[in-house]
Amino acid sequence: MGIRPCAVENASFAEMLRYYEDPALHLRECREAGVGVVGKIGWGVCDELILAAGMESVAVRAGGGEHELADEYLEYAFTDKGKYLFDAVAGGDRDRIPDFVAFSDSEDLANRLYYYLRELKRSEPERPVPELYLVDWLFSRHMTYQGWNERALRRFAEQLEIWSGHAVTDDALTETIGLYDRQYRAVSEILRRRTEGVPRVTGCEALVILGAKDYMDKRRYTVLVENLAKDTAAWPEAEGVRLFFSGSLQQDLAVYGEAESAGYVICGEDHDAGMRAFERPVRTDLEPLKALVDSYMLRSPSAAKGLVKERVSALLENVDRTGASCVMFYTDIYDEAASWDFPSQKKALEERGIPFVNCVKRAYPPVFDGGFRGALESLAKDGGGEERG
Amino acid sequence: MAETASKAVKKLKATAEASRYQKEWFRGLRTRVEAGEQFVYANADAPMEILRAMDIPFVINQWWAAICGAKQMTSKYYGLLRDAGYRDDLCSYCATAFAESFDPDDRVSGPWGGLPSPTIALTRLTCDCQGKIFELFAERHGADLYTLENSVPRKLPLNWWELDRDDWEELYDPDRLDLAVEELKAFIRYLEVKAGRIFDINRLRDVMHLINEQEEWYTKTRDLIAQARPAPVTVVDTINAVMQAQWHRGTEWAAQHAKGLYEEVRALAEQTDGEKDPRREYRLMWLGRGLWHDFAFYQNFEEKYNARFVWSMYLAMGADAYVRNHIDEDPLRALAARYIGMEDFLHCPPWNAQWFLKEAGTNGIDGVVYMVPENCMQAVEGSSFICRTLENAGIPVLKFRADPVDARKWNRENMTRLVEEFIEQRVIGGK
Repeated sequence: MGIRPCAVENASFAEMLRYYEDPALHLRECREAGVGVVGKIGWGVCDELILAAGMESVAVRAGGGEHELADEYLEYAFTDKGKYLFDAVAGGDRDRIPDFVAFSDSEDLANRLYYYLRELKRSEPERPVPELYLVDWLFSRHMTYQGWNERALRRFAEQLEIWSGHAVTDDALTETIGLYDRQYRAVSEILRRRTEGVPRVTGCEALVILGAKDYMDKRRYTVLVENLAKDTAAWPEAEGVRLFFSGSLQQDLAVYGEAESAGYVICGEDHDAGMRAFERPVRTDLEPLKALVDSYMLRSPSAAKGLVKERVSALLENVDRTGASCVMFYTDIYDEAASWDFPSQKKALEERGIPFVNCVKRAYPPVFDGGFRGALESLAKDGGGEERG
Repeated sequence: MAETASKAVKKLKATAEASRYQKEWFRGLRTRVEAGEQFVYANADAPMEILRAMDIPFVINQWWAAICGAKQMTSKYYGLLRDAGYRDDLCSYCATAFAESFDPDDRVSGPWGGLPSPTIALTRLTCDCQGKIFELFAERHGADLYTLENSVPRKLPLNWWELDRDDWEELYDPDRLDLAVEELKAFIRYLEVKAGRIFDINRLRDVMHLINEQEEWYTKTRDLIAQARPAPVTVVDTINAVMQAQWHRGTEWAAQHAKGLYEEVRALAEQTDGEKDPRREYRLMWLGRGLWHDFAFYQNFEEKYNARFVWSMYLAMGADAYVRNHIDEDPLRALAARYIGMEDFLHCPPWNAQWFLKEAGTNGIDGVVYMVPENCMQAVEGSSFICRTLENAGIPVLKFRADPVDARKWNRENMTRLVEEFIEQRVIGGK
């Protein structure tokens, strides 16, 4: 499993894969073309607004190697991914980090990274920290916060106007929302081929298709994903035990690849680099900012912001929707919020007789030790259980 | 480690009085809850003044966790949590009461006869885990969960303590205040329906004035300790005296207690003036949450070095973070201007670092001992920026990891050695 020849040989997929595997490629292209780029940390940094401001976006992805600055500045409770992100932004790594970086208050990690980087920029102005901005979303599902979030997006649009020198007009925003609506429709078609009937898209392939939007030109991506909506209909069946993945963000193929090489096919996930990003379309019949708030705020509850009951319901709905026959919970060390959901989710799965495995305190970059591989084996053999990292 | 047996020696009558009153109040609370009254379990940064004005009793999460820690109950509770399928190494400060809810013997062996079952669990969403833990806690007790959001400051004042009493409109982004007022109104409407009683804005005014009176006494006490040599009291007394009374803020008792605390400290300062230990006094600042499971630790360094913990945030927050003038113009907005800042003051650099620097200067601090929790994202607060700010001003800092309520990983012998080395090498050695 993983990425199959049918995908690699597909020109649209291959182009996406090239950008996915080289997350700085689009940044380099934009720099050469003189197009401003906004780096994104957290899933609530709206591409639609960035594009309407005449800029492009790339997701800032955690790298590997050392994180010396993070070791100096961050407390113990930051995840490994957070430490890599901090080093990249604080160190002003121009090969990977745009001149502007926007965070969203969609998880503690992004929020706290913003605090620390803002303070670093203020207190040590000699450091090459880029321009920073936080989109202050509030995700409690009440009308009060819809209004707040609209105002938060308006402020972000104003910041983008400063960065880009272009006004974010309603017309431009309506046009970009239309572009994303095309993406949504195409991706929905592909996701149906992943989750319904005979699965024709693996988890790794899906991660590339869903994730590439964050690493390439958005208009080009739209064309490619529309091509794939047609092409994937002819891809062969993806064989394997259908596994739903719940937990920490996966912005590369390592963990999915390991699970799929063990005989599983990951048919869905609830993290923000997967199908959750395309779960709720941006309504084209609302005022643009209201429509963006509707889409981002009211998609299914994330591990960071959802309450336990919401997360249990969402998991069961996802298992039903994707036809999963088992579930993997996977949380990075210090990415702990989902740990409070797990006992209730476990109970709900047990009541339905759905096997699961729980992998906690995982390192990043991931380490596939005996415990992890044993957990996958036990899931296949005797219905899994719990595994501690 | 074995949970600590030795006890801190407290010398203030105000400390004993706070404990006595709290226990009596708690007995009364149990009676009220058993009679069917509403009872709120609230996080420390929630706007409890609304509850006070509506005479709805409440217990504060951090205070209760501290009691559980001081009563050496937390090892048992985290064991129960683990048995129930939850991780026992996360969020100890916020999860203690949830863990306690699994104790079938709570009524018999729990602190002060155990926690009565609340009808409402109230928290602000200041980290990703907070809402979930309070939700699970509420479910265990059959209570409602009520949450308030936490917006992020865009302004970065370096002198918030000079602005918060009178100029909060300048201190905060105005839309954050607008949102908090909107949240307060919704919360009040919920409580009016739930409790079947009206919220009286004039009563809130009274409560807010009483709070100002109380906190002004804390300001005087803080300033007195800052000036007095030797220090008339240490944090062993002030933390307990202030923290317990702080949760009764807005009552006549709390205001009078704060006054009594000041008068007692002043008398001690006058009494000790001229009776100085011939050795130099080394004045230490404790940064971080209280070390509830080993309060005697704070006194370990007095006899050997005449090094005394004279500062903690508990009294100083009372002095600098609570007073809000111009209440009568808009009590709800004044209240909003108090509670939305709690996260900013404590956990957002540079708000916190600059305040600690100011307090270290005015209190004549010779060294800072800084306890940083290992696994609490809510409590990450830019500790490296705080350390740099203090060190750059010539104030040595010892930073270490420990948990305020979970004693299982605490090793007093090692920690004592660590602080002793710090005192010898950096505090005394640096002079």
